[in-house]
Amino acid sequence: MKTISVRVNGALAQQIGSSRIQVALPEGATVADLLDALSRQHPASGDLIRRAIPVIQGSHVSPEAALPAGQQISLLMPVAGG
Amino acid sequence: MAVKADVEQTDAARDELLSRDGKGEGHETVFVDRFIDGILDPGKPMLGPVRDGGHIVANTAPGCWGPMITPEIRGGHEVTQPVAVAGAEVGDAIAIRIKDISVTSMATASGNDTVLPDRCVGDPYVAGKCPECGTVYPKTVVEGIGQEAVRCANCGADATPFKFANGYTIAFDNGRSLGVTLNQKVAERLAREAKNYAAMPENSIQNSILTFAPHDLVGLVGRLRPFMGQLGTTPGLPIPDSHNAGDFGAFLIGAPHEYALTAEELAQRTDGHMDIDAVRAGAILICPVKTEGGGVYLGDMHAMQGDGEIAGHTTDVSGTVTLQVHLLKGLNIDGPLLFPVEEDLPFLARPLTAEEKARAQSLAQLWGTDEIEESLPISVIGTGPDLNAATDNGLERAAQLLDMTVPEVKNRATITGAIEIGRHPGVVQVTFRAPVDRLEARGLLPFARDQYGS
Repeated sequence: MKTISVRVNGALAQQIGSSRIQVALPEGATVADLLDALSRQHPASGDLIRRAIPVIQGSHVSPEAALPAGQQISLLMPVAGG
Repeated sequence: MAVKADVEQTDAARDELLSRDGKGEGHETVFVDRFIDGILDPGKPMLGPVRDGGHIVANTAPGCWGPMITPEIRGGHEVTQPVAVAGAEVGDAIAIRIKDISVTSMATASGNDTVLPDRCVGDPYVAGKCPECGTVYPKTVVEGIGQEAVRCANCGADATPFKFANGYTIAFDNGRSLGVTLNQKVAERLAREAKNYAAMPENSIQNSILTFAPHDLVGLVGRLRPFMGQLGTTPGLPIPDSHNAGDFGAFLIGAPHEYALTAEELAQRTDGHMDIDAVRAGAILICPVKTEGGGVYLGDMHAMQGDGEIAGHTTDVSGTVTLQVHLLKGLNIDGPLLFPVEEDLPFLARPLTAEEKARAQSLAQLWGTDEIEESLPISVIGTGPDLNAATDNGLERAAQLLDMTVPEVKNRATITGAIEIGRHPGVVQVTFRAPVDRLEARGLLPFARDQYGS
């Protein structure tokens, strides 16, 4: 098992009650596995979790992508400002 | 490497540029008081063309909160209809001298936002939706004041996708140099005549955010230093105006609404939405041309804003702006470049004084180096989903522009410059003193000399 650090923002962070979450996943888990695990941990936020955009090291990643060891993943809700 | 500036060659380049001020196809001045529907679309008609060396004079409408509570507008801003520059082709660049920025609003309101549930298709800034009748991009009417005043014109429901988490109303002095946040009673009085106090341009369709009358902060004093949150060129494909940057644009990738892009398509952005407070009167901005004519647009004037714009939104105001444009053929840049006014440069990036040059020359000779490098400041804009990605983007752009390696750019930005946060989550300035021969090779030296002298 490995622990994945997840950063969330906006409405998702408000619903979950934190902007940083730790999720335990088996080795070789993908982004999709992370989203499923998070949805089980926070069932009321499932819709927002599915709409969030997964970003690792500044790049979008697809649901099929493996979660690299030691990297934080961000699940970002759309924001725009300025 | 020590370089002697070829003064005669530089003067010739400058003279050539200036000589174009007096001739060329297109209008001498294009006056702009019309706005787009939130989508920067290269397929839509442009105003002009303005001639190379000509002027654009615009009356701009507030960005952010007003358009955000007007879901009929399909982006987060209400920027001006783009102006074509005569002769501009894909691969060129347009240099914009910002001659004047003047705030016309007497007051505005702002704060951080909370997104309301079930009021959008994936992105509340792009695709607002009435929660009752489900109309996407619904027209709205304002009934009364307060945060429930924006109603769907179709069914009458409260239709704003956003409300304030913490908000304020601020009024400005006649000289537009200071602002003070207001109490509830006064905020509500302004709310009843919102568009008057906002000096809303006649052709703007946005609901004025003054209508909401926020008053969480009272008696706070802010200095004004107005600049353009949006100033640039039209992207190569339709992009919501607020998302014409690598950070907000990232939310278009795979989005559920009709303006979704792929990661490859996002490269057609022009990063006009910078929110960099140095984009103010006296600065020179150089923008990529990614569609024929370039399509210079502007909007989202900010009365003041700290680096990062960490609240997400600042004091958005109406105003008048005067620009002069020059066409730079074949510059082939991916994103904007900026020559800030000297006082906006980081300390280490400021041009050397004559006295500093003389002392440095002596020091160099003392240590066996014949000549010191001649260099002038430049700021390369980088954007990305976060600040790390934005910095990498800016470094790569600088390296490509000036024929350097990224490690060299990093060294220069470390000891003769800085990485400055423009906007959180992902706009930065990579600023440093660049060798004049590299600036000259890209046709940029005349602008650097105009800003900073020899």
